[in-house]
Amino acid sequence: MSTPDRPAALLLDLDGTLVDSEEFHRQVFRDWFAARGWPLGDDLLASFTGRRADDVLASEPGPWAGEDLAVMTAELLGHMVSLPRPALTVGAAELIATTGVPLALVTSATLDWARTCLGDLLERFDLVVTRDEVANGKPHPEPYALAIRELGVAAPDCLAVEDAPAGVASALAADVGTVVAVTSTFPAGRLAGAHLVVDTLHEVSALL
Amino acid sequence: MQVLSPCPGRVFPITEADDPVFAAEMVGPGVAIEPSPARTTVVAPVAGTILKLHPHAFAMVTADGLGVLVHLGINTVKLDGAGFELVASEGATVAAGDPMVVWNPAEISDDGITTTVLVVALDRPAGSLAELATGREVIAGEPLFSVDA
Repeated sequence: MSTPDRPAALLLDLDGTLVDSEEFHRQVFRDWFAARGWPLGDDLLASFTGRRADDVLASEPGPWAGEDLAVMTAELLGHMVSLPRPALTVGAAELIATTGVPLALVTSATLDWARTCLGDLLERFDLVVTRDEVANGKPHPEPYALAIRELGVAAPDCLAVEDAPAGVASALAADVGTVVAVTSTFPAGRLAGAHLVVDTLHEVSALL
Repeated sequence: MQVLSPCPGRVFPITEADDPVFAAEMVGPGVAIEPSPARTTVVAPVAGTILKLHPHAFAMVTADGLGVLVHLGINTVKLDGAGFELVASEGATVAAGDPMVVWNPAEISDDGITTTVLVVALDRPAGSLAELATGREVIAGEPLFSVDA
């Protein structure tokens, strides 16, 4: 049985959409601060959210003042690789493993990170677009436009799933026909513009 | 609660399934079944609502909120429904043992496709099931495993 409006392709964001990477990154900082013996309050932890760690360490005041940036970055990487991979979000594995629709991963992260997060699930994707394939990242339409072109499908026939305003904007600007926002990271109010807002990926599986 | 076998066959550990994603219990913990090679009506493993009904897979949710996925064969999505007859409807509420899909594992053969049936508890941690029927021959409706509701 196939639904008449089954999408030509499913375009999936990674961080926050398929994996709970925010909690993973927070744990990296907790581990690193603990190893350093530095206190870590909520405000300090929040200052790292959504930013590159080396930018924060280089520009913000904190217990790391005067420390070698390269050493600190290496320490953070060490804590990253010693943690288990970030958990998949609810319904992510089911969506990827059971859908019969062509799949593209459209992420602002690197291929290494996608492999770390998804493991064998990455093999289920027909196409992976990472930060290294595009000149302009989200919210620019380029990542989605590239995925659509490479898959050889029509943008209005595609369904994209995103968790962040920049990703929603990118997919909309690329003329993706159905942009679904999942509220794993941002509240529904921040995801205006998406055609549909859902709480979990189970609701996306049910659309296919 | 108990999850019942959707079909007759030999039950074995899902970690031995010929699919790395299911074998790693990424979709969820469960069991694999080598189905009896004959025309078979696959039945609902639990009472609940049919969330999604594909020819090659269906997902249900019980009144307690337990999600159960039945995946008929590995890579069978490539068959695009050929060889599967749906006898239930998406959104319907059914009893355990109600008919869902008819297929004949003996007639399914293609490159990279196997007929192993996977029965998975969704959104549960790996290794969290009890009373697994692994290593046994079961008929449809016999208990496969139990899971905390």
